[in-house]
Amino acid sequence: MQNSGKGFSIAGMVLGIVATIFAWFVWFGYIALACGIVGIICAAVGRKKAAEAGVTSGIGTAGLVLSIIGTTFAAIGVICCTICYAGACAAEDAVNDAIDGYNW
Amino acid sequence: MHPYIEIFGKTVGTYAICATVGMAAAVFVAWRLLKGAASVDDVILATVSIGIGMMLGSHILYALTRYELIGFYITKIAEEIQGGTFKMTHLCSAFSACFGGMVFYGGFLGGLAALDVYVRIAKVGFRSQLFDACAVCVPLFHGFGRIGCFFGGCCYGKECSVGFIAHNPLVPEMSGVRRFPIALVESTFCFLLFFVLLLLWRKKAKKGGLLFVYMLIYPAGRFVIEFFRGDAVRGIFFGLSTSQWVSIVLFAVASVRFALEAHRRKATPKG
Repeated sequence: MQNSGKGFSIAGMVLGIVATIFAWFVWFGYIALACGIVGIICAAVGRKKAAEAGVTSGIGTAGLVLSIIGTTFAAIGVICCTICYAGACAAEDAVNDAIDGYNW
Repeated sequence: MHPYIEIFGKTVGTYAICATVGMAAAVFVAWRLLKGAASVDDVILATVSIGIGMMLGSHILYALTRYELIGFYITKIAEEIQGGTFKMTHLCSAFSACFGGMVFYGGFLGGLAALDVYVRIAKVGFRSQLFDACAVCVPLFHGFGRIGCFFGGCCYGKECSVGFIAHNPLVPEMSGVRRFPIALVESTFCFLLFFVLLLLWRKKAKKGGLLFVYMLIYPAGRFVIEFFRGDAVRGIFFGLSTSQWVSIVLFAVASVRFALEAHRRKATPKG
């Protein structure tokens, strides 16, 4: 019997839910991003396996949508932090300033 | 400059919003271009691979341009470990100082490497089409990203009599001066390049080699654009910035590829 990828789809949906919830909390941004990315992979693989087995995968689709939403919100939060730092460093001689003004 | 905006009481980076819109547009275009050859799941998996490679590559190349800072922090942390005063927060501070920013070329090369890994692992049968679609979509994503850079104020441009007076609370050194809007110029250049590559895709010209067309045109433009950037933090080596050196290498690779192709075509007897 061909594997319909149900396990992947369920894993994708669970990770998608976790990513969507965690994405709203700044300090869990990276966890949400990781869960979302793994969730997208699981859900997409689940959907592919289901398509190969000739069945539809509602759980896989739901997982994919939730994971994409979670990843998007988490990425916005994470990039927000990153760009803040990049902007601050974009001033000329930032490296020297950082070394001269070294203070944990 | 508006590095942040408020949405429903939450502070969100404008760069992040522009990058997300760009990514969504790029995925949509890739899906349309690959319709028939690849399923939506294939496109999504390829996008995730590229995204992971982009994030890693852009941060790693940024860190390489700040090699002095990396050496400095390694020495400091080694001293702390020896002296028994090491704290995990210090390591985090050092890591964010060295890897906090992003460099486009690092993302581009990292994304390509990740896509290649995905193609090999998944054994996809539409490899050349995938790379061609990637070449079309990269400037589209990049165009939106540069609009984000303009709002974020990270690539602020040289002082100039024409342009915008920049105000960025994150970078006081750049504020209050009229600066050339180089990010918007690069964004326009990227969108034009996107339409050129889309036209080539539609005409089925340079099939399997669109990535090299991109590597021929974009680096040439980027090399010139770099002279108007104004921010020296990306690293200057022998009078040229990191991106200019990478541009030279990419341009050379694409030129050699097209020269070899022309030579092979000439050597192959017709009929």
